[in-house]
Amino acid sequence: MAAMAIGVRPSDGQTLWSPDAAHGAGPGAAASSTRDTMAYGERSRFVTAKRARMAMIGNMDMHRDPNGWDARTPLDQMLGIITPSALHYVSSHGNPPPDIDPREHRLIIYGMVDRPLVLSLDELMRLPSVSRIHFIECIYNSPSPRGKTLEQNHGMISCSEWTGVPLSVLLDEVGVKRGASWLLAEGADATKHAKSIPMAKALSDVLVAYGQNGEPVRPHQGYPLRLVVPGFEGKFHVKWLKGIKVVNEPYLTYWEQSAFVRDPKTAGSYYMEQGPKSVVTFPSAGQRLTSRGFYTINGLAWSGGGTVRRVEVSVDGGRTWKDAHLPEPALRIALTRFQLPWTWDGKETVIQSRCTDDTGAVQPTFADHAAFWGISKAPHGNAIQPWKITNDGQVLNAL
Amino acid sequence: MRSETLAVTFVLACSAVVAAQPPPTSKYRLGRTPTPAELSPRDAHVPPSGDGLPTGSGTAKRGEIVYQTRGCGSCHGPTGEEGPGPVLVGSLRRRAPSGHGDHAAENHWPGRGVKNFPFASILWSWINVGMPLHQQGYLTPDEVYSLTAYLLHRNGIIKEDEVMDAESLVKVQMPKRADYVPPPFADWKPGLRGR
Repeated sequence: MAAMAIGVRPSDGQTLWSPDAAHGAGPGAAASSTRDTMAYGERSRFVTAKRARMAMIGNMDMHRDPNGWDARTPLDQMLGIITPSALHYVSSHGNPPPDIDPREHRLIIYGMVDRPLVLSLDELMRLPSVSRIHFIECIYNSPSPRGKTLEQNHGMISCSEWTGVPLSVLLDEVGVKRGASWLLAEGADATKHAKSIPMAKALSDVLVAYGQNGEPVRPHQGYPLRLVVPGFEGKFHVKWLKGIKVVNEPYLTYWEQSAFVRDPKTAGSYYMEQGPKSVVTFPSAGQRLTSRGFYTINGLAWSGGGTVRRVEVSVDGGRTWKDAHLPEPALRIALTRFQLPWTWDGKETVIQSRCTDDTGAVQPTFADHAAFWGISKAPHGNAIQPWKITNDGQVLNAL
Repeated sequence: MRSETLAVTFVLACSAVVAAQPPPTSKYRLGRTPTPAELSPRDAHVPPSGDGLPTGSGTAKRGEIVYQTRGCGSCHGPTGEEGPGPVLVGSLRRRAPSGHGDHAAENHWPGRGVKNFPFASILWSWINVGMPLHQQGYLTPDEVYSLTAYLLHRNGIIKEDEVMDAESLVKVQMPKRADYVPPPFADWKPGLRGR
């Protein structure tokens, strides 16, 4: 919608999230709806941003439930740092959300603890809680030369305000035994997603979240409980959380079988934190500039390592870089906006952005990132994303 | 001066004791003690050490029967090589007909594929908690041991008559075991990203 407001019309690329009967109502349907929009509000019928559902691939072919499909956030239509819960990206390994009755749900904290504990949701909500704004990004959210739109290359990141109990409070309650060095966070989905988390991270800033953007966590995001592991790969943020097992070894569950295996070809295989990253969301692939003249370049930056300290933007194919303005708020491990005023002269050019976080880490080029990992399609795809603007205003992926 | 030092030492000693031995009762006194069944759930994940493996056993021969009779082939193909679901046996570079071939993409992801699992516990645990899809809990521990033995045998890792149980499973030498690098993250601290 931001793009529309400043005179840009979507090009063919945006048909990815064009209305389809199975996935929400178009403008006409909204007008004839008899739903009580005073009880639970609706967006304007002219607002149509949708998640782009991803093709079923490989081992997910076995999952026939359309609610088990993965989906990407339409980043170019986001108007701030918070992703509406209904547009939060989804990656659930093909599993639809389990239908969990909150009155029946229990969280068990067990393993190497003095006092194993079972908590109901009501009991958990009686404990002191915090609200923090953090992004969650899928480890596969990597720019690729094949991507035709912003969403295809970057749509598996979203940012929410998460409300819940610090995991450290719960670990204090049960008393962690000496020698415990890891946790296994266990989900209640069909294939029991579980992830090993180092104890030091668990004690620092991890949340057991029941709130997302002021509401209960959405079913696709883990209702009623989701672990939020700020800055770590998306798969650490275990949804439908039912167990915290305190242990002394990483478990190497199915979804982390390769997490600790070093490929001789690559320098490192097992970072957990997402690196510094940024992307220009306007103008971006799939959009079109309708005339030469003034535009505000908009984008989003983030880092799993901390706060975004600086974003530089180049509008001349990387020859020169200018510091972008970072509109507040610039929060730790949260999406952070950046802007740069720009006058397009109508000539072909390449625009791109580069993020530096407060640890001093700098977003790498696509070539540097590929060289470091040994393969171009590597996880933690935090490479710089160049967009090419043709002399007729089309914006294309320049990788 | 000396008494100050003693006092500081005393305080330090107390805080060390507190850190090592948390109070036996919790601060908020909410919740309840888990039942034995909750402490040892049927769908527990099993780590490389084998902690939590149940009693039971199986062989590849029995596993082949389980594979045929429990419907594994409806997703993975009659012999585990055909798909359309993940390929369980055979060339690791081969892609599943449906495209992605999660288990097969050795060239992309070290560690993927039954043959590439660094520990046999991963195979046992995944069959136990995840299979058959949407019918989890349908297989008995003997059947899970048997299927594990069958797939390890079909991938050339164990002999056909080797018995898999809680003791033997953790001793299986997986071909890619040497590629496993114990993670340096037990003492993870913010900013630890490698390079």
